[in-house]
Parts: sequence; structure tokens; C-alpha cells
Amino acid sequence: MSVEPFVQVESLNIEFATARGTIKAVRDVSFSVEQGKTLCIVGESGSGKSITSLGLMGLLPPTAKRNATRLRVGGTDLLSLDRRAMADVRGSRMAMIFQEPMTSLNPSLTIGEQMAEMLTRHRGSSRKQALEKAAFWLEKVGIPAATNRLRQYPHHLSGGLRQRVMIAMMLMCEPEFIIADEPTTALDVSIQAQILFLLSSLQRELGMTMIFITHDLGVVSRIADHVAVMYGGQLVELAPTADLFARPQHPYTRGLINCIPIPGKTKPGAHLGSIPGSIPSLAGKLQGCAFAPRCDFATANCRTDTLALRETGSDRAVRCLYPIKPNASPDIALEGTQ
Amino acid sequence: MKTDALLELRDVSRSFIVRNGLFAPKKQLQAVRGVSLKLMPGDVLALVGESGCGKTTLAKMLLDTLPPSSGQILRGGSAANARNRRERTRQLQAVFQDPYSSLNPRKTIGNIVSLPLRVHQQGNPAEIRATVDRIMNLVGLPPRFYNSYPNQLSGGQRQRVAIARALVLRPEIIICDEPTSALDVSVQSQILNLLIDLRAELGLSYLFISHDLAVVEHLASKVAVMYLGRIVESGNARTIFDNPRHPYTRALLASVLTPDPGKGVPDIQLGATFPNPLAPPSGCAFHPRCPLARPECRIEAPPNVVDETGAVECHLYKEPIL
Repeated sequence: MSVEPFVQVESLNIEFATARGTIKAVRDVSFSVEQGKTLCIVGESGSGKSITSLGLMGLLPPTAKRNATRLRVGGTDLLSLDRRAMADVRGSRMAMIFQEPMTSLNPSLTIGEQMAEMLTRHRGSSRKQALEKAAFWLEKVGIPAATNRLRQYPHHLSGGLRQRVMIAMMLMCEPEFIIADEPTTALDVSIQAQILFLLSSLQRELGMTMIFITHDLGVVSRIADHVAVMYGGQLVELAPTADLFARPQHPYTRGLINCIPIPGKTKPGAHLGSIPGSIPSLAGKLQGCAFAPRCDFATANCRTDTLALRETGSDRAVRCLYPIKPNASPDIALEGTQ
Repeated sequence: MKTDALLELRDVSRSFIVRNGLFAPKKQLQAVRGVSLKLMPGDVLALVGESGCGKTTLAKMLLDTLPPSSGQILRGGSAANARNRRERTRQLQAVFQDPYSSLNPRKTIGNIVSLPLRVHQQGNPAEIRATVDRIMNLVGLPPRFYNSYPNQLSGGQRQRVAIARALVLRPEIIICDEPTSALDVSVQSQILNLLIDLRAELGLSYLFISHDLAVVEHLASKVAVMYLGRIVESGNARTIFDNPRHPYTRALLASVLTPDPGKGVPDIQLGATFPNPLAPPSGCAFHPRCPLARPECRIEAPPNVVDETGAVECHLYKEPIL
């Protein structure tokens, strides 16, 4: 008997009604994450990756319309929860960490008050206990003199420190499920490596399930078990991490991998691959493949046919009429484009 | 004092007086402490280090927006103050990190790119227009953008505008301060390709400030690693990436997450704390985080050891290694 995946998302659609028509930011996205595993959602700005996670957390702005056939986390049906019940689940069982450390902390409360609230609100701890726990977690994410920091306000802290406060705050309740939206993008590489190291060791220790959103393929390769590539609001490729990097099947995925310099593989000073054109508009109905205008392999069919995410093997799926064949040219993803 | 470097820093320091509150005592913050550095013609010199290490202060001094507290900045072999500022800015231009805040939203692209020409009175309106058209073409901006405003452009296009503006006076040196870190992956590669092409076509030299070491390895010919206001290691890019000597350089390189599935996140064992620049550690500034620290590192600042492969400041390398 197979175990039910910890996170199940089926046919998630998110729309925004704007003055200039409907923006379909997330289109029919389905994926699942097994308990204790990490799914990375990769994509460029405007691909819908952040909105997907906000939709899952029930944190969409009021102008957004969400519908899905299934949205389950750890056995709880999120679609059936009202706002109050959702707020209880958030923070205690699932936590989200955002990209901007500058705006996600309350500027009028001290670090200690904000952190302690997590435990007094969700775990019924006393203020004193909560503050001790807060100091413990600040030390754990590498903030020295933690007890002094608790009395400071967010504006006293640098961006890197604020982001670490956010991470400590999120981990305090030891949630079962974490959504991290580019949590280390604004940080130095040395801090990034340390935070990711911490996050992955805590994940193992606590058996946390994680969805990690990033555009950094290096980070993806190191922490993900599975990768979901998003483009134009759709999931275009889903694969185990090693397979995705070794044999990308969607031309967009391959394009992305070609774009980054890989030390030891890319020739220094040589041209990097690039993806010409720009991201598609998310307004209205999509005709054909969203990537067709930028794709080297696109045919007339790509512009007209409706594309579904098709399985292409165990654990793999791709939304493309002409997925790149496994043995097409083995190392092509690592060479620069001609 | 002759030098063949385009740009040379000799023992440059810069300190600031700061106070934490209205009645708190004034303190001296040494942002840059005795930096000597050379940019040779045709080089791409990458300056790497964590935030707070003094990279930006250094760049500001090079750009003449901040005078050094002590030391000398030589451009083309002569001291900076020997020539007038306008002439200096013609040789040295900058491209900044955020193309959303570095362009005036109320000016058209044509206006933004042509401003340096107008300030420097380079020709009549028709000539200026011709130069702007040529530069826009060079950086891959379609002519129809001439009358557009920055908000009508994407991030990558804006960064091209910033590059066009930097190039329009035909400078010899461009200071790129994190030019691609605000951009998407596919756009980043386009901008890097453009910088590579422009260097070859126009014979430019870059001072490239970045914390993306994969990009640095791809682009740079020389690397200088900065820690708490000092250059702790410098040399040829190849040498530094293949054989880093300073423990800090090694830690930085270890923290680069190259696409390598299955390898996991390394434990770089660098205590997460960057020291407080108001109270720098004694001896070697890196010793509290250094896995190889010895007793003398706490007491004595390491000597600067220069050999043919580069320079390094660490007690492990007291004698030149040949």
C-alpha cells in the first residue's frame, strides 16, 4: 500500500481580476511532495512560482481567485478550512518564509516580541519560555549575542541578519511543512551556504517536508529531491533532481541550465547560452505552448495544440510536444550554444 | 611615480565617524584599510567578499564620489587630483546593480544615454543623436526605445541602457557593481555575454564587483578577495580558483553552490558571524572564523606576502612560496 504524499496539489488555478482583464497567474498546476522530501520550484520572475506557494498557504490578496480540485497538506484538506482555521495551521504546522527580509518583519515590534509571539500564539508557552527559545534559535541560525538582539528593532539589523531572524522564527514552532520563497537570494554566498546547510540538517532531524522556491539552479541541485520547472504560470517539467540536470526534457529547462556558468565545465570567457525573447503575458487564455515563441524547436503545432503535462517515465513529466530525447546528444546541456 | 596600470590604489584607507545614538560616543569605522590594487589594461579584475567588507566604499573612492582618508589613487599613472574631475569621469564609468533605481524614471532612454555627451559637450545635437544610436545598437537596444521611458522596459533592457550610458563617452574602465544580481537567469547570461563582447570590441577593462563566484570565475582575469577592509588575497583568477591559499578564499569558494546534484550543501565551517567593523578582531581580522587559526593569529597582523602568483595575507604563508 502506498503512503499518501504529504503535500498534494491538483489542478491549482489562480486568477487576478484586473482593470485590463483577467491575469491567469497559475494554470492547472499539480504536484505532490512526499514526507520529509524537498521539492524545488524553479522559474524566472513572472512564472507564477511565488503565487503558487501563496495560494497553497492561503495568503493570496483578496483580488485573487483560487480554485483547485485537491489541496492537502499532512492529511488536512486545506480547501475545507475557513480563514481562522487556516491561520491556526499556518505558523504552527506549516510555515512560510519570504523573500524580502526588509518588509516581512513588523517594524514597530522588537525582534523578541515578534519571535515570542510564534510560541505564545501557537504553542501556549509563557513569554519567558518563548523568549528563551527565541534566543536559542537565533544562536542556532548563527546570530551572536542573541539575547541583546531580542531587544532590538528590525531597523537595527542588516538584511542578512533580518533574513536569519525570519528563518529562526519560522523554525521555532518546528513545523512539519515549510515553504521557503527565495530565502537566501539576498544573502552572501557564505551565509547562504550556512543557512542551507542548517536548513537541510534540521529538515533531516525534524523530518520536515519542504517546498523551496528559487531561480538559483546551483541551490536547486544541492537541496532538491524533485524539481518543478514553471513557465508562464504552468508547470512545464517535473523530474527527480539528478535526472533534470543530466537530461532536461523541456527546451526551457535546457535553456536555463545553459545560461549559467558552471565552473570546470563552461569555458571561461566563452559565451553563455541565452534564451532570446521575453516572458509571456499571463492575461487571458493560452494558445498552444507558452514557450513556443522563444523555443528553437517550435513547430506550427506548438502554437495551436493544447498541451498537457505528459508522463515521460517514472517520476517524470513534461509539457512539450517534442521533449528532448534522453540520448539526443549527451552533453549538450553543458556546452555553450553554437 | 610611473605606473603602467590604468588604475592603481596605493595604501588607500577610508574611515567614517559613526555614532550609534545621539549621546553615544563617536567611533571610527575603518571601511577600507590600506588597500593596494592595480587594474591593468584589458583586465577584468573581480573584487569579491561578503557584504560589509568595504567593496562598495572602495568603488565609491574609485568613482570619485568619496575621497580616501589616506593613500593615493592613480589613474593612468597620475594622481587623481592632478586632473580635473570631468576628464577623469570620461575614463571611468559605472554600471550599478539595480537597473530599477539607477535610471531616472522621468527621462527618456535617449535622454539618459545622451546626458554624459551633453555634459561633456561632445558635439552638436545631430552628432550626439548619431552617437547614441550607435551605442544603443551596440548594446542591443532597438532604436524604437529612444523615446521610451525606463518603466516601459524590462530589467534586462534597463541594464542595457545603463551599460549604454556608461559606454557613450568611450571610457577605458567600467566599474560593474553586481551588474547581474538583480536579473533573472536567462537575462543575466545575456548581459554577461554583452560585457564579454564589449570588452573584446572596445578594449575595455572592468572592475567587477560581485558575490557570485561562478560568474567571477567565468569572467575575471584577476581576482582580489576582500575581508574587513583589506585585500587578503589577490592574483590571477585561474590560480586563485585552482589553488586558493587564504583560508577565507577557500571558505568562499567552498560556499559556491555549483549545479551538482547529489552533492548536498557543504558545511563550510565558517562561523556565520561577520565581525563588527567598529570593533575589528585583533591580529588577523579573520582569526575568529578561521579553522586554521594559530595563537599568533590573535596577536599579530599577518604580513603581506607577494610572489609571482599573487599576494596573500596570512600567517600560514610567511615566506614567499616558490
